[in-house]
Amino acid sequence: MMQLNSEEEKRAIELHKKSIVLEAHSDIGWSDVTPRRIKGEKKVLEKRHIPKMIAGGVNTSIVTVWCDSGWVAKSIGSVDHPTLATLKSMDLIRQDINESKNIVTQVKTIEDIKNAKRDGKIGLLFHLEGGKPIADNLCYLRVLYDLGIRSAGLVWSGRNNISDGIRERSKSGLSNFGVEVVNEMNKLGIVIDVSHLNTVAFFDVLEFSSAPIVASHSNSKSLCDHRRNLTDEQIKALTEKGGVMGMCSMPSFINKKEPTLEKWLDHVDYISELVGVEYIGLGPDFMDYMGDTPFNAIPGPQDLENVSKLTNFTRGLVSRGYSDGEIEGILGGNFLKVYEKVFKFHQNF
Amino acid sequence: MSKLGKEEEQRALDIHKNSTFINICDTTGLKNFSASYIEKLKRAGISSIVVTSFGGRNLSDSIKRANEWDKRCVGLDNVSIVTSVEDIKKAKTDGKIAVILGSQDTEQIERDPKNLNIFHKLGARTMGLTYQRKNSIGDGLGERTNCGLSKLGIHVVEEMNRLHIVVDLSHTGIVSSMEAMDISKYPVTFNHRNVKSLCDNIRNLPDEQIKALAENGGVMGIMALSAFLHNKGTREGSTMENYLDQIDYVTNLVGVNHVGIGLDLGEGSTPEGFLSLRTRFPEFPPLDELKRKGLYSPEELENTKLLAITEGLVARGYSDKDIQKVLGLNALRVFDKVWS
Repeated sequence: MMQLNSEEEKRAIELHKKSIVLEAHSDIGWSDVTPRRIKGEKKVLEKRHIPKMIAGGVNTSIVTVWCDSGWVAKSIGSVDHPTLATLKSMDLIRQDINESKNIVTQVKTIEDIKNAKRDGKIGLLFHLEGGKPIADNLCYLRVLYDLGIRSAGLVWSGRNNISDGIRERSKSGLSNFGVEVVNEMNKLGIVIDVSHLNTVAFFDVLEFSSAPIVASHSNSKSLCDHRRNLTDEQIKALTEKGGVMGMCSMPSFINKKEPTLEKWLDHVDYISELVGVEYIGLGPDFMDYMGDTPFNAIPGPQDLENVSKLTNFTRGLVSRGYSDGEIEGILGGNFLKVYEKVFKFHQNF
Repeated sequence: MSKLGKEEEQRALDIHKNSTFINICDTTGLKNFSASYIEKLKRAGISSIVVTSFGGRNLSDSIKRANEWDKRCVGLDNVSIVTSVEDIKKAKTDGKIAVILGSQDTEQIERDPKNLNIFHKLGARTMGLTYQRKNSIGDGLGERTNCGLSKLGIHVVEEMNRLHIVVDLSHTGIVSSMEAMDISKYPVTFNHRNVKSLCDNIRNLPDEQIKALAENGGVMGIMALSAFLHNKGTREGSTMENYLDQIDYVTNLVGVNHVGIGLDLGEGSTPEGFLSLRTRFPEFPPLDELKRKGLYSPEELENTKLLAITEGLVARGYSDKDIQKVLGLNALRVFDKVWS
């Protein structure tokens, strides 16, 4: 791990404490809280996640509700019904939050996020991972907004009636309904997350969205050729529109051979050089705790195995010579600026 | 239409009587599927129709609708639900209308190919892959994109093959339908689609696809809606000659084995119905206007005077055998291949 002198150490710790540390993509909701509560467990957040998040200095976490996958929807409900499964999952997560109100709270606005930090609580903001629950009617999107969805991906890896995802064999862009969904998300003030989209759909969203968009958990493809990472051209287009991308700590997204913390920091340097440091955020997508899912429990790189080690990221940024302001931006400020802009699009309906 | 001599008239009458006449796209809704409509079909010389009994947009809705259709069909004396070519032949012998159950979309299987078995068990023998819009399987015709089948879409086609359900591509986009023809082991249908070269319309087939259909061994049913018959149809309506031109065109392009009758007409369809359809699918031509003006369809066909088709084909010099193919044998050939 990087060596810092004592002054730098102090600076890193203070910066980390002072900043609003925002984790732009977290799967604790659908993959852990939901299935455990279905089995009857209580206070899953408090027992399994909040302590690690506190240790890692996290203030806000964008928690995904994911029912775009048939497997997940089925595991949540008795029938394969993504909309109902989503409602159920959100309800379970909210119950879990309510059981630990003194340390965790659902956030829906910038003010909520700031208040949570002030009150020493962790704020969870709901993100819809894929548009299947919207079914074929925007009414479901509006209701989901009311329940606190403030960020959304249009499709996970496969296909739905909105678009093709990154793993689909054909790579089509937005459908007619997909364009309507983008417009409605703009109107509502929902942040559109393009991390799982194929290139055609990615550029379609950029064309049709009047608000900035984000890639919550994607790195640079030039440094690591993974299908979920973004090309230079994509990064430029996304950031020209005011979007931000969250650096993802999944080893396969960092480097095929040496998925280390240093290599992860290289992505920060690269993107900062390419477009500017103000377009970078934190979207680690930790998967160390995943057990009862079709996914393996994958720890992050050494010294960043899970969310409790996040301070090491800040130490890394200090070692790479970023200024205090820049680091505060990367840790959360940059994402907050985009959210603020997008939330302001909200029109009453 | 050119006048037929006495002898030709008799010939047309004989062919019409002896043919298995199949309308592979009847749009009558359950509300109007009555004894009197069945009598009308019998008078018109129809043997068999394909109906959309598996409507709805999710599994339970679709099954409930199909159940209502089943109840209705069972309650009508001269109707027989058929699931095989033998059934169709028997129905004709018994003087009954053979009803083939189907859908125009496959989104109702709720993204699980296993559910196709339910539809098959309930009698579905033909299913449309997509209806105008993108679904989890492929792109519809009215989409801004034109993509191929999804991985799931490939599984769905394979499972429909395995269960012996006809893959219908009437409302499916170009690339998705090309891929479906490629992947399907059996012939497919465009059970209501016309020729783009004669009428440049989003729902009509380009020559290239008609050729691919011929290669696949499938059949397309010619629709009797003015707006899809010729380029001025949207304003001026259409005649039987326009309808026969469509049949001629396909025959000249790929031979007589791949064209059939898929009128896309039904009892009791109203301008309001089409108006609501156009609100959802603005890419459709203004059929409601035509309906209001009485120009919706060639007059004979709208009044189920289907003998006019047979007479027209006689007038255009088709042989007895070829006329029988167009009226039903082509469709029957495809059904036989897929179902058995």
